Amino acid sequence: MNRFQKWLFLAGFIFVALGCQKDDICPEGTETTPLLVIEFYDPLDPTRLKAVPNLMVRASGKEEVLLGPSTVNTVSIPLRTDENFTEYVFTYDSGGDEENEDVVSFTYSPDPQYLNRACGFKVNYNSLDVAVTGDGDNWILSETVLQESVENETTAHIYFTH
Amino acid sequence: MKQQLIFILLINLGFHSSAIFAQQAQAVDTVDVREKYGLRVGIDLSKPARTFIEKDYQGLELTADYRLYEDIYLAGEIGNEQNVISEPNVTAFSKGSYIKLGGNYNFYENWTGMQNLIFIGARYGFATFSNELREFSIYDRDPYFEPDVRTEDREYSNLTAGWLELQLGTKVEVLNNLYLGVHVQLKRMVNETEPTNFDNLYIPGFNRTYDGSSVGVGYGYSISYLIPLYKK
Repeated sequence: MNRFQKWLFLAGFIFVALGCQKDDICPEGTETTPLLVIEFYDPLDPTRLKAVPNLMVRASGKEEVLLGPSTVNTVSIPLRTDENFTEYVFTYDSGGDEENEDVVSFTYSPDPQYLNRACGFKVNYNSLDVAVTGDGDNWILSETVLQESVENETTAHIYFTH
Repeated sequence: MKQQLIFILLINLGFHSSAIFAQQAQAVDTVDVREKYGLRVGIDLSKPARTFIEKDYQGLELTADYRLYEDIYLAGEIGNEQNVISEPNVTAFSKGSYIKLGGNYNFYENWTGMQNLIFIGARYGFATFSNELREFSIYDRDPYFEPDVRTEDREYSNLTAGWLELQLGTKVEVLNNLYLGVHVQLKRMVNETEPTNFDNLYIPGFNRTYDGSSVGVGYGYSISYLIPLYKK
């Protein structure tokens, strides 16, 4: 092996060694921290979804509106992952004649779960509970927790009647 | 005239005898075609270099091989490493020691008198280490609330890992008994203790891990010295 060949070998190995790097990007479609899914039902017929006219949702203490006003029978809302409760204001018929604000607080215990090196952790919520603050004129008539642990968004976790 | 002839004769004799001696000396040299057998010890140059260049890395590796047969060497490495792994959503720190044992097969046909290697090697590697989760963020596609980035010091200790490793490399004798070498490594994890609700992002000796794969890669540059024990 002459000197040139030796150096050629060296260069080749350096190239191979440096070439082995993989991008670490969190792929779309990875399971993520789930949103809380709430469905609205008719109190007289609890099997029938009932849309809320011009519903507007925002978190207490935040100016920015999360969604609405829009007429929907299902909402998906994020919960704070760094606290064990989140308080939301649900406004019925926002901007209309029958405008009515209800304050709803969700309590839970957030549980970080490791995903992978690119995405980091997600949070699952355990021991979910919900309470509507009574103001004498609540438009939300009843609230029921369907699933105490929130790990995905495939089915509703809570239902309200109005 | 007579004096001149005697002088030339003497010079001729002088040349002649020196030629005879030189031939004798050469003859002794070329007869010995035995190769050196012994213990070669060295260090990996890349690890001290990385220690110097990279702020978060520290490492040292000693290497050794012992020539058993014409082309077969017993070989091993022992080392210690610590490294910080910074990913966009996770920062972790890993430190520990490792040992690799196995053999090398030299498939290079040397010219007479040269003892270079182009080898393929196999190793079993074993590491004991600890892993520390330092910072992570909660992956959340909904940007309504502020990102949740948490600084923690969660340490998982007494972790172990074992792997099989293939090496391909070369060692070249640059000075008498002094070798420079380079090799690449391909590894496959065999057993690994994983921390609960976390993962080993870096394992000393194995290097970084890949999600959903038990394969690892590595390289090394070595400088080593052959302690000749006998010739054969």
